[in-house]
Amino acid sequence: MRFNDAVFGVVLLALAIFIWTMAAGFPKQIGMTYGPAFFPQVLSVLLGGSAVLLIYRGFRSGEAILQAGPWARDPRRWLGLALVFGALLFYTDLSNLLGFHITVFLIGFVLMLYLGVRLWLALVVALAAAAVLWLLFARLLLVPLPGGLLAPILW
Amino acid sequence: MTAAVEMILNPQVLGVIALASMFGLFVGAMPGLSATMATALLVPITFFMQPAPAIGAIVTCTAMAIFAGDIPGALLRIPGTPASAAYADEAYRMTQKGLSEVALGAGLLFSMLGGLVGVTILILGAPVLAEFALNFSSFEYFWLALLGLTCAVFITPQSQLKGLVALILGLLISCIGIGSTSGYARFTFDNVELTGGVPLIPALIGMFALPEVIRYVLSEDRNLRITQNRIGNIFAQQSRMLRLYWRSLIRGSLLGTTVGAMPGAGADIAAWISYALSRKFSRTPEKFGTGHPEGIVEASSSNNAALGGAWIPALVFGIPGDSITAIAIGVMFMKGLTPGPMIFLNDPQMLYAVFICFVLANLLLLPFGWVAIKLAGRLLSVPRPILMPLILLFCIVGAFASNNTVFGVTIMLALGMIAYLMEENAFPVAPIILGIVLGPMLEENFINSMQKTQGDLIGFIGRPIAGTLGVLTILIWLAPILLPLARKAFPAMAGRSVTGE
Repeated sequence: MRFNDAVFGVVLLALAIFIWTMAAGFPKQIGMTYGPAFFPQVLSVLLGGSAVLLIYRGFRSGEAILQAGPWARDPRRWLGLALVFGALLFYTDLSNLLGFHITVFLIGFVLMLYLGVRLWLALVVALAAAAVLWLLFARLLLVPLPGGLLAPILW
Repeated sequence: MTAAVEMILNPQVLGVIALASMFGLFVGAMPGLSATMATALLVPITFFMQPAPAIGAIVTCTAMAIFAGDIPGALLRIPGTPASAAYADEAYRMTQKGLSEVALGAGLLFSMLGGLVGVTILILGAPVLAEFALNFSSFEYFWLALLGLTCAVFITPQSQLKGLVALILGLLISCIGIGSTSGYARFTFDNVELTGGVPLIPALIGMFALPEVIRYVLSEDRNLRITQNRIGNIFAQQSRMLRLYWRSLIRGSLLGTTVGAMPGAGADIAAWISYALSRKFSRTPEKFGTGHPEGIVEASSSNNAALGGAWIPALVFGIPGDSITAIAIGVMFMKGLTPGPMIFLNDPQMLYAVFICFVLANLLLLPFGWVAIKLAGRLLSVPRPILMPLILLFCIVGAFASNNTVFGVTIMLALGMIAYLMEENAFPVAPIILGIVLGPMLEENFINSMQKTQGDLIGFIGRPIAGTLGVLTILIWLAPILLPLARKAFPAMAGRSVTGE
């Protein structure tokens, strides 16, 4: 997914202005020329300058605003992208409720099916992955992974 | 010293090192999974270890991964890590000629030898530099950090402007949270979890592992076609190689160590430069590109030597030489170790432990690498539709485990998306991580210096070492402006310029 440099330039310029104004609201410290706002403001100036150069370059290159890769016409690829992001959001939102095993199993299972792994193999590998990751992180490294629905039988 | 040996030579640490080796070999050999990614995925586990095995695991894992990248390069013409990209074509041509064992053997042997040269320079050079660095104050450290970041931008292979943008973004990320200089929470948007800053481990996993998963899902051709062929005795030809190409070994290792020591440039750039130099100095440059081992020897030595080189500025000044040492420095901070000259006085056994790990890693390379080459066919046929979801799951757990909150997963997702978009558009990602790690050092040393002199900037150029470093940094910044001017003023120079305009 290639954007024209100017697109990045515009976004970064907006970011630079945003950072500058936000940093301007930081408290001044008495007796100090260089407070908490100094470093971010220097950076925002540098970022703004680079952004302007990128815009200039982007216009001169004459490239299209967006050149999508060949995958962009394939709805299956979009589904894949959505699945990866969906998997991460699914974990952040539901792992506490459902528990580590169920969330991880579902993510692994669905993604493998999408990528064309045979049903039984995906089932076995996803189950094994959930079990191994639990043993490694929860049992061996003592990370408090959420038990969720399975908590009553785990502890 | 004996304490350091004891630290490493206990069964638990050795076990960790052996596991890290296998992990490094596997990740390095899988095309698309880089040595940096191996390190990023290893960090959540090292988080729970003692400092010695944690650093040891990182060191061994990276040495193995950089070598293992040669394997698919030779067999499939797909470099396993970017560090093998320079000579993957050459190695593949050797395979086509039926010489895969010579190519892989040279890769293995000279990876080890180059790695050992890099370590030797690290062991001899670092303490000397550290003694020198004891005289440094916040002024010098400010310039060193700035010089390091400057190099990182100017070494960017694609566009320096894009390297600069990536660096600034990294520095800005380092501003988030309560800084140590002011105690004021910046850019947290009233989010409690951001007050501690952007957590490093989820950021690393997001930037170095998640984009690979995304790229894989979006790729057209999802399966590798393995050209199965028998690999003979990989060591059979190697004594001849050593006799013929010992100059390449020395040149490659020395250049690799130097390039590695420069912030921002790591094993991949070292390999490209060494391969080009090897052709330039070769007696038979016309054989390059037709399946000729000379360039492989030099570049293999170089990329493994770069690993040791990268640790020199990391240990002495706390300035990472590449993205892997940037991660390692982050790990050291988490373990309560502050890299810098004081570590040479206060924690020498820790330092020796790192050195021993390095030597050990390179010695282990020979047997482990041999096994990996023997198993190459099976290793490369691990089905990627199964592997990639597993990597994603590992990313999730790793991002979660560092702080035990799903916030880590959110950070990973956000930075992963940004990193993917940036890489697609030729923005380098390594400067971001350098910015995140060096940002606080840059700001704190500047503010502390200003407090010492009460706002007088003269301290930055008044001290001899600080002045020299400052002039050097500014010269590098001005180079893109000064060089074209100089060429205009002296037209004769233009003819001989490297760019060949």
